Amino acid sequence: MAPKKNSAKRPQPSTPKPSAPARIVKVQSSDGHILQADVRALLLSSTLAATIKGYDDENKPLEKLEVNNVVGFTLKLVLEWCEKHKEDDPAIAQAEKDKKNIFIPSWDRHFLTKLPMGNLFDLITAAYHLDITGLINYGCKTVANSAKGKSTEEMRELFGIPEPWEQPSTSTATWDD
Amino acid sequence: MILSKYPGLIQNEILQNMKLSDLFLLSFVSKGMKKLIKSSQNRRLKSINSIVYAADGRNPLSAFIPRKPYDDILIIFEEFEETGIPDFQLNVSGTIIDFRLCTRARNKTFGLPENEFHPYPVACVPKSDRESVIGP
Repeated sequence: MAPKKNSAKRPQPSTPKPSAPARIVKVQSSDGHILQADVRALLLSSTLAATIKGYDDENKPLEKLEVNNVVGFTLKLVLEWCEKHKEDDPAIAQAEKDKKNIFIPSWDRHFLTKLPMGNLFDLITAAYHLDITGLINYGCKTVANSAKGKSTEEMRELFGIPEPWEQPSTSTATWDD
Repeated sequence: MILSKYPGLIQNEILQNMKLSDLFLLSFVSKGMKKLIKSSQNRRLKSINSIVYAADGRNPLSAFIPRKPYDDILIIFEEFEETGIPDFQLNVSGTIIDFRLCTRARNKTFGLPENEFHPYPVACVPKSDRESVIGP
């Protein structure tokens, strides 16, 4: 018997394209904070990419994007992650997700593990709302890794699961059911 | 962080990324969690064709899912020590079972490679109780 070996290898990113001049736009969070971001970074979000495409198709000037369901602090983290990954091929994140074979690069591991659990929760939820596959992959993997080697009590604390006697129950069922 | 407040897709993604030995322990946390694991990981659990309970006398008694090239260990049993201090206890089918998390040193004892360290749960039970833990 031998333990499962994690032989996951991250697909290599495609060769970076010659860098075009950065197109900077303002992004406004739900609590009114205004941040600036490169459009290439924002394109990692399928939600924002669709909005940007809408503006481009109609030849309307894009001055400010409003993100109504993410607060300023979390949006700043999202933009920091996107800025780091703006050269990445989005197909890599999708391929990793499809293969269920996610390897967290060292920059991302450091970026995500330094966050308190509450902020990580907000970041993953924001990534979900903005549909950023890579950030969802790495965030979920980081949460899953944080459960590694924990006892049931530690897992209960980590995931905020109430004790059985704290849970409203209408049944007297037991584990034997 | 409250797992139940995540969107369903995120909950599934987190559980999907967890090792089976961690899911196994997490399923003991609450009935709701057990139900969530069973429903969201249905495909993964159905892909398990067999669970091997190794009790050949040469290797430590263990339960694992045979896979290529490496088996997925669910739990390893070690000899019952009356004086051993458990890392935690679980009520399994009415029997209180001592559990210890496998340390690197213990991994070495079991002959598991150091570089593939994963803290498998180790149940410490008298022989008479083993059936209740690993039985169907």
